[in-house]
Amino acid sequence: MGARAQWLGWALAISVGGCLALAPIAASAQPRPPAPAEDPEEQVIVVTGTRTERRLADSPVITEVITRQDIEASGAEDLAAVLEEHPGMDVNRSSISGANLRIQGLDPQYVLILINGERVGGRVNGAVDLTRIPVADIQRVEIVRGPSSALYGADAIGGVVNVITRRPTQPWEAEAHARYGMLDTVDTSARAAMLRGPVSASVTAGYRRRDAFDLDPSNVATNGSTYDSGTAAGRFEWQPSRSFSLVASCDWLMRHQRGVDGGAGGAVYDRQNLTETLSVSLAPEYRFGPALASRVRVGAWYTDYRDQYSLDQRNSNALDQFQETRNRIGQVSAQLDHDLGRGHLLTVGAEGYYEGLAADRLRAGSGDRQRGAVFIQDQWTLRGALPRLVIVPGARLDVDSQFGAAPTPKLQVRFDPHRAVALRASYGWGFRAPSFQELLLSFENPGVGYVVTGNADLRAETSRSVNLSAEWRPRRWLWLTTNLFRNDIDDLIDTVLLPRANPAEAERYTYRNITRAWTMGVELSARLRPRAGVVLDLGYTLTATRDLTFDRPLEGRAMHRVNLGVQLRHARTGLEFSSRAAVVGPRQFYPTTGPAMAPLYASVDARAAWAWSRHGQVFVACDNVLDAGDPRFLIVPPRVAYLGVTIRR
Amino acid sequence: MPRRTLPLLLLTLATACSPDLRPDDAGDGGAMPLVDVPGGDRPNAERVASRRDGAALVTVVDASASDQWVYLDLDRGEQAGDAMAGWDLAIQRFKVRSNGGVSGDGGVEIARLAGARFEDVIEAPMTGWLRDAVDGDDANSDPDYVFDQEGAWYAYDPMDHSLAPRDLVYVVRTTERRAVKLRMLGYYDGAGTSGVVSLRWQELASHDGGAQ
Repeated sequence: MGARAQWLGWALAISVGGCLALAPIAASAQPRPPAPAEDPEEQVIVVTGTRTERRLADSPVITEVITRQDIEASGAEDLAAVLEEHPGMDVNRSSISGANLRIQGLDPQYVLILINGERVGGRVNGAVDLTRIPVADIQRVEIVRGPSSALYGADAIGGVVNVITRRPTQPWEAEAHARYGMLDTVDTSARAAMLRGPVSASVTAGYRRRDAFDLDPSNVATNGSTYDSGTAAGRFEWQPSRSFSLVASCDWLMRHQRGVDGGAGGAVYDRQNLTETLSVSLAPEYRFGPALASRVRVGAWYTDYRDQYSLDQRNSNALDQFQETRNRIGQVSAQLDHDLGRGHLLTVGAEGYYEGLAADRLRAGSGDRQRGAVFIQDQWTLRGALPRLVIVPGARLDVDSQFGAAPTPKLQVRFDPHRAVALRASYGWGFRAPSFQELLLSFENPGVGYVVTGNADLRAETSRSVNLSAEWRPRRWLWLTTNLFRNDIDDLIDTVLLPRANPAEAERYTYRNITRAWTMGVELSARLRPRAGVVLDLGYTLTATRDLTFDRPLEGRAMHRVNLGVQLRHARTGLEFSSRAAVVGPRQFYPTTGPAMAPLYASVDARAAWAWSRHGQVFVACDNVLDAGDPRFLIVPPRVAYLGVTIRR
Repeated sequence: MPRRTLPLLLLTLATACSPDLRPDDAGDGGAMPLVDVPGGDRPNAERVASRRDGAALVTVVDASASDQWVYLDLDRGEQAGDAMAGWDLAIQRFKVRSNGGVSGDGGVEIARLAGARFEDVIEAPMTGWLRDAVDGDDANSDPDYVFDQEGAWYAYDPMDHSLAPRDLVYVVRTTERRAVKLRMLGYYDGAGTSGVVSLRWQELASHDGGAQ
């Protein structure tokens, strides 16, 4: 306890100290903040869709980018909050496992979360908790919908979210951020960075906390946990020449969550989770050829994730539990991007992957798997001038120690009939291996009254997906996109309730390969910049799903989802206002008491800020203005107002 | 050497600094990995406690072990507990069996009185005696215990997965041919631990010999 408090104390001291140290700088500077670039999409380099650096406007794969500016305007403090305000991103929160993401109606285990192109470890029930990733060190978030298994392998069926961290652009950079709000919410972070000659480095530290919240006062159970979270990250880049660079990074996180669970018969449990993650990576890169268009990149990274889970029954120890989970993931990769001329950019690569899991919840106590993979892709520009045509065939072969070989081909086509129009089509296969938990789990939750057991006979899931998209930019201030998608999944793994010999027994769940399911729909979005300082976003997603085993919609998916966003910025006065809203249609659930339909809901966030110089900004914000939420189907924090300051140089 | 040392140092640092959430065994904080409640070697008598409630007894049975039956000898009154021979009822979690029919050769029979008030039952009924029977056409593979026949002694609430006793009074004809009226009071202890069955019971003054 003392050690934890010490670490968190250091994080807090760094953040507050950073604010105080930067305050005189911020106070003395006079210039107003410059107006943002009006067309940042043109300038952004994206990497996720093809594993190569491409200008966003030129990318053969449609890629959505949430910029640093968007993140700051939204007031989001973690990746979950960033994504839930983005059209088509279905972020689900729970009282225990934080927040996870669905894309195109597919569950979180079909969505691959990357940081700088590397997998985020520590999936819980197949999902990465997005609240673990604070925004302080995020430069941008890239989203690629649809399958990307041909490049990234397992799990990239519904889409890929790639978090790109910040890189220094000035000789010295410093930033401190602090926010305080209802529920005793504290968000602080500090960042220092330098760029001197061939060397750049940055250090980021942060501390966050929030009290638990309770959406159902009729019982003592909480719906959202109290948490304390400390993070630290360091990055170092050495680029002695234009052709060679070396990037090393280290990320550390510790988060302590506490909540109260109610159980049958009036039992009350004090629940705690302590999660720690340490990741280190090293990535040298060598560029060569004409205009240095070819490169070799070698990467190695390692993640160690540890989670302690404690359930302490009040006034008794009969139902107490303690479980520890240790997940270690290591990966080495090598990738060659070579400009073959005549419009061909070839990418070939290989990866080796190791994952070990030790957990009390596994029947055998531990398990490990190894996987090797090779992949190849050709970005073939058949015609560079309008009408422009690019074809990107690719394929990947994964060989896993548990489920054998999984080939995943993909074909993508981009056709630009007009300067303002881009049409894209893709067809690809995907796969997801059964997780350790699904194979080997043995877990009882007496608080809620259920038991989950793994199924060693599970097969890998496979998918076939089609995406058709159109991007139209009729004016510089107007950007319209539409995407039609269809995902067919075979051997879909899902939890099923086993028949009970007696209703008084705990509910027993296991995992099964459900024969087949599909999701399909359309995603529409529009971004308008009608005048300087004004950005309007509008999105609509229609998602239809079918579980073909039970002939019913998949649980918890809303057929209709509308997103609205507005950003107003007055450069002369430094005033800013932004608001995001989501309207989510009814969702079908299948609890044991019988099918239930969760009603439509709307969530609104708003933020107002004043930048007194380009070095400092104060803001006031309110999340969940309409106080949406219910303890059964919509576990989100209640309305919370904040006050904060950001100082930078 | 330095390249290897740094990650290891960081790993050690991170793990060494983290507290251990494992509760100690003091007070109510003792924790056990719970997948199935083990029975252990705890004596039967330690699982049963009775107290006087007017003319009746209230007995609390810790039947939380899923692999162990706890036996009650109603003929021994307050001494009910550690008695394998001459037992009348045995409880394991929510299952209650009697020493008669397919469950034993003690001849125990039970009459089920729906809607009756405990205080109003002053003599054994003339009819309606039941014994534990072989498993019938139902979802489980257990024998058809009397306490499960014609509706179990409990009602299950799927909302919170809890059990609550039904409004039933049972009259038990014991191995010594006494008649005892009995009402189930609950399935949980004060901390909410399931499998802790409480029941109120009292010997009836007269008995007609039943169906035999």
